[in-house]
Amino acid sequence: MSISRRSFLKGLLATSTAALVGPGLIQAAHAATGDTAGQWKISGSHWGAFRARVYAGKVQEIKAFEADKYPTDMLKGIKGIIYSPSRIRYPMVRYDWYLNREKSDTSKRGDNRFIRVTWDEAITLFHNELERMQTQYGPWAIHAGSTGWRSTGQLHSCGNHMAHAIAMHGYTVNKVGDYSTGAGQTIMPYVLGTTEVYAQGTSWPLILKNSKTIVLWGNDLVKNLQVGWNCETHESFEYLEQLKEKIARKEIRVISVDPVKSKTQNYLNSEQQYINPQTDVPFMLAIAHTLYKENLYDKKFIDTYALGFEDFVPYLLGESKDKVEKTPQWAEQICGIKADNIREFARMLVKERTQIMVGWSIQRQQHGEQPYWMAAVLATMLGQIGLPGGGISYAHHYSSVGVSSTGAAGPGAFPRNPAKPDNRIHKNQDFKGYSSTIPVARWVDAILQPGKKIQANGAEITLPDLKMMVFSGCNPWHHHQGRNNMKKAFHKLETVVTVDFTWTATCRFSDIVLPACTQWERNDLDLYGSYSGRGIIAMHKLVDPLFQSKTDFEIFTLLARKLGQEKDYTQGKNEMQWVKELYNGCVEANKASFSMPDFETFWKEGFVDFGTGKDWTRQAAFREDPEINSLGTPSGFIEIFSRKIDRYGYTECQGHPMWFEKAERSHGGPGSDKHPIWLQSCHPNKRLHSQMCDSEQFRATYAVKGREPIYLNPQDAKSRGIKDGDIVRVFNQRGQLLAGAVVSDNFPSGVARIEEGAWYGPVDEKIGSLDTYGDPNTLTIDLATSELSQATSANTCQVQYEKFVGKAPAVTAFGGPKEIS
Amino acid sequence: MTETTISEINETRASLYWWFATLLTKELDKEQLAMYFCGEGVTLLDQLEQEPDFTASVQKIKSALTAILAMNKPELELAADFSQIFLTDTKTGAPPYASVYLSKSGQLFEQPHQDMIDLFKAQGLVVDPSFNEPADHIAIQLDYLGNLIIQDVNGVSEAQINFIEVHILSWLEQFVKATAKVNNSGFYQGVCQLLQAYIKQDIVEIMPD
Repeated sequence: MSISRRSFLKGLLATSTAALVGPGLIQAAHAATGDTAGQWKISGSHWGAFRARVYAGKVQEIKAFEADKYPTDMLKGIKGIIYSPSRIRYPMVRYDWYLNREKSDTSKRGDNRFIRVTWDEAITLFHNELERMQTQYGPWAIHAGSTGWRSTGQLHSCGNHMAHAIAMHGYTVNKVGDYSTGAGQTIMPYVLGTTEVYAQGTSWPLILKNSKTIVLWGNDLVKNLQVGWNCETHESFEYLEQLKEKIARKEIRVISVDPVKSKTQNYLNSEQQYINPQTDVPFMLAIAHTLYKENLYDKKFIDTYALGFEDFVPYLLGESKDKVEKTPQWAEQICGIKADNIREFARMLVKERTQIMVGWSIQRQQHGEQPYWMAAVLATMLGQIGLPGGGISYAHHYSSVGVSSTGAAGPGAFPRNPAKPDNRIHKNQDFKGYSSTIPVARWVDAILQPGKKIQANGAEITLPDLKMMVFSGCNPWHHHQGRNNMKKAFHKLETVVTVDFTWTATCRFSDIVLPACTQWERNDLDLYGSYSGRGIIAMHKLVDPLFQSKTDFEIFTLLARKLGQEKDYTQGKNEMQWVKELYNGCVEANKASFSMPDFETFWKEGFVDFGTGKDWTRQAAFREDPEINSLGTPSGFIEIFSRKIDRYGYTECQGHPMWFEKAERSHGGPGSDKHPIWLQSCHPNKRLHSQMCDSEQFRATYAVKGREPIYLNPQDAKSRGIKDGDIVRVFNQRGQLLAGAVVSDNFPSGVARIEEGAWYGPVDEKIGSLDTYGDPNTLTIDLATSELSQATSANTCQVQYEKFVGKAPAVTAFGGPKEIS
Repeated sequence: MTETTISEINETRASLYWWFATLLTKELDKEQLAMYFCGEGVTLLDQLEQEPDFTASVQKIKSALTAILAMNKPELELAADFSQIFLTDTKTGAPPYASVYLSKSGQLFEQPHQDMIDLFKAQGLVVDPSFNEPADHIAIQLDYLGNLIIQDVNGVSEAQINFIEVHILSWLEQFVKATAKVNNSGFYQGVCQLLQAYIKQDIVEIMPD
C-alpha cells in the first residue's frame, strides 16, 4: 500500500489529537444471547391489540391480536411511530428562550432552533418556570389542564401524571369539556339527562332484531369505530357485517342523512338522504312540522315522558317571535331537500321501529347544541325511546358503544390527584378574579383577551391571563381551530412546556420539549372494549425507551423529586409494582363476578377475557317507570323546553331547539359568494386524530404527492381545472394550505373534506404563511358554538380552492425524508 | 517502510477518526471549545489546512469558529448548531444515522443499524448503554473504525477497507449533503466536509495497489 503522502500527519497524535478525543462509544458485551428469532410480546393501542416479534432490541413484525376479528389497517403504522425520524430524542429547549427566558423573542416560536439539555437541567428549567409563575403571578397564569387522546395504558396515562405532579406544586387553570363533543356533552344533560355522547347504547343484536329503519345522522360508523379510547378490539364490526346482510335482504333500511356518501354507506350499500351542510335543524324542524300537522306524533309518549312540547309548538307553527312557520317548503330553501321528500321522510320515521344514530359531526359546528336537542325532540315525537331498536343514540360510532357490557371493572389508573393535597408547595388559590376552570376551546381567547367575560353553561367566566402552558400527550396545534390566531396567542405566552414522543407542531412552538417514550417502550395494562368491558390486555414493554426518552411516570417522578415529594408521587413503587397493583385492584373489584388469574399468569398469557354481556336497551328502565327511573334532567323527564337554559337568557341557545343561521354556510349561505366550498374536517380514516400522521410509510398509503388529501367533487374540481393527484391551494380569510386532490363522487358540489389531524407544517413561523402539508385547522374558525357550551365550531368553515401552479414548497410538517412533488 | 511507521500512521488515522467521532458525538463544552480558539485544536486545524484537499473545509470550520467567538455565548451557539443539524429531524437538519439515508422507509433503526449490531455481536461488542443511540450513528461507526485501525498492527486489513466502503461511504455523501443545507455557523458542516475529504483520501491511500 502506498502511504507516503501520509507522513505529513505524523506526529499529530502526540501534539494535538490526544487532548481532543473523547471517550469511546463501544464496549465489550457482558453476555451473548443465543436468541436468533426473537420473542413474541403483546401490547395494545387505540388502533387495536397486537402481538409483536422483538428481536435484537427492535420491533420486527406486528400481528393483530387473535381475538380481534376485524383488525384495522392502522396496525401497519405502529412501527412507523416507534422508529419515526420525527421522534424527540433528547430534552430540548428553544435556544432563544434558553438565553432570554420570558424575555425571549416569542415571534420566533416555530422556527426550530433548539438546544439539547440534560434531563436534570430540563426538569430544573421546568420547575423554575412553575415556581416563577406561582410567585411572580399566581395560579391563574398557568394552564396545565389541556389534554388530548394520550396513548393507551392505565399506569402511564400522561394527563394523570402531568395533573398529579403539577398539583403537588400548586393550583393551575383547568378546562372543562373536550374538542370532540363540547356542544353535545353540554346540551344533552339538560335534555336527556346524561352527556349521551359517552353513554352505552342499545346493544347491536337488539337493533338488528327490532329496527326496521336506522337513520345515521352525520354518522360514519365504519370509519370511526376503527379506533377506541382504550385498547380497541373491534367487536362492533361483526354487527355491521350482519347489518350489511340485512340491508341486502331488505330486512332493514339504513339511511345516512349526510351531504357526503360516507365510508359506512359505501360499506353497507345503504341509502343516503342528501342534505346541505349545517342545515340539519331546518330539516328536523320540518319533519317535526309534518309529524305535527299530519298528527303522526306520539302524544301519549310526550305526555308521559316529556316536558315543554307546548312551549315548542308555537315556534314550529310560526306563532312565536320569529313568525316563521317551519314548513317543509321553508326548510327546502335552506337544506336543499324537496318539501315532499321531507314529508315522506317524516312519514317513514313513524311507520315502523326506527333507531336514530347521531354522529358527533353536527355538534362540531356553530350552534352545535341545536341539532342534538332537536334530534331528541324528534325521537320523543316518534315515541320509541326506550324500545329495543328504537329511539335515539349519540355514540354508536364510538369505541365499543353498542357492544353489550360484561359489567366487569377495568383496571384503575395512576391517580390524577395527589394523595396529600395539603402538602402542595404553593397553596395560593387566589385567581385574582379570573376563572380557574375555562371551557376547553377558549384558552386561546384567554391568552389573546385576558379578563374578557364570557357566558358558559349558566356561569360567567372571566378568561385568565395565561402566561404559561403545559401540554403532555396533547397536540393543540392539531386540534384547536385557527392556526394564525394561535400564532398570535403564542407570541404572548412566556413559557410553553410540552411532553411528547414525536415532534408535533405543538413541540415546535414550545420552549421546553421533554421526550416521552412511546407506549410500546414501557410496561402497562389496559381495558379492551371501553364500553363492553371485554377484557384486560397486558402491555409488555416491547423495547427499551429509545434515545433519552423516558416514561411519563419517570418524567413526572423527576419533577416530584425537585419538589421533594418523590416518595409521595411514586408511593414507593416502581413501574412493575404499579402495574401489578392496578391489576390486583381489578381482580379485587371483579371478585364477585369474574375469576381472574394471578398477576404472573395474566402477564404471561397477555390477556384476560371477560366474555360477552347481556343485551340491553337504552332508556328502557325510564320507559318502564319514569318516576322511579327518572332521567338526570332538572325535571327527570325529557326536556323539549328547558326552563333552566331559558333562564340563562342566551341569544344563541334559548329555551327550546331553534334554527340559527351560521357565520358561514355553503349553498347560498353567508360567505358562500366569496368562499363557496364547505370544508368538513371530520375524524380521519387512517389516523387517530393527529396520532400516526408521523408514521412515514403508512402515511404514504394515503398522501397525495406527499400532501394530505383533500376530497373534491368532480364538477367543482373540473371547473377549476383540477385533476385527481394535483396539488391544490385551499384558502379563506383565515389561512391557506396545500393539499393533494382526490376527486370523488362521494362528495357533492360545494363540499370538500380534509380530515383533521393532518400535521401542521407552515413554510415559516410568520402569521398567514402557507401550510405545506394540509392541516384543515389552518382554515377553520375559532368560534364558540354558543354561550351554552363555548365549544368548537370546526365544521363551520367556508373555503375556496384553486390548482396550485409553480414549484410547491417542501412539506415541513414531518421529520421524514423530503417529499418532492 | 518499517513496521513502526505503519503503526504510527495507523495511530494517526485512528486518532483522526476518533477526533471526528468525538465532534459528532455530542456538543463541545466550554473547555473543549476553548481548545479550538487557542490550543491543541488550533494546531490540528492548522496542520490539516496545509493539505490541499482539506483546505476548503478547514477554512470553513475556522471561519465558523471566528464567527462564533464573536458571539455572547460561543459554546451555546455551537450547541444550538449541533442540535439544529443533528438532533432535530430530516427537515431541519441531518440526523446522523445511516438508516435515514439508506432505508426505503427513511425510518430509524433499519437494516444499517441491524448490520452494525450484527457486526458488533460477532465480536462481542455493544454500544455503550449510556450513549443509547442506534448503532448506525456516524460517531459509533467512526469510533469502531478507529478501533479496527488501531488493532491492525500489520498495516491495513481488508476489514478496514470493507467497513469504510460498506458502512460509511454508502451514506456519507448523502449525509454531508444534508448537513450542507442547514444554515447556521457552518462549523459542523465544515467538520462533515472535512471528514468526507479525509476519508476519500484515506481510502485511496490504503487501497492495495
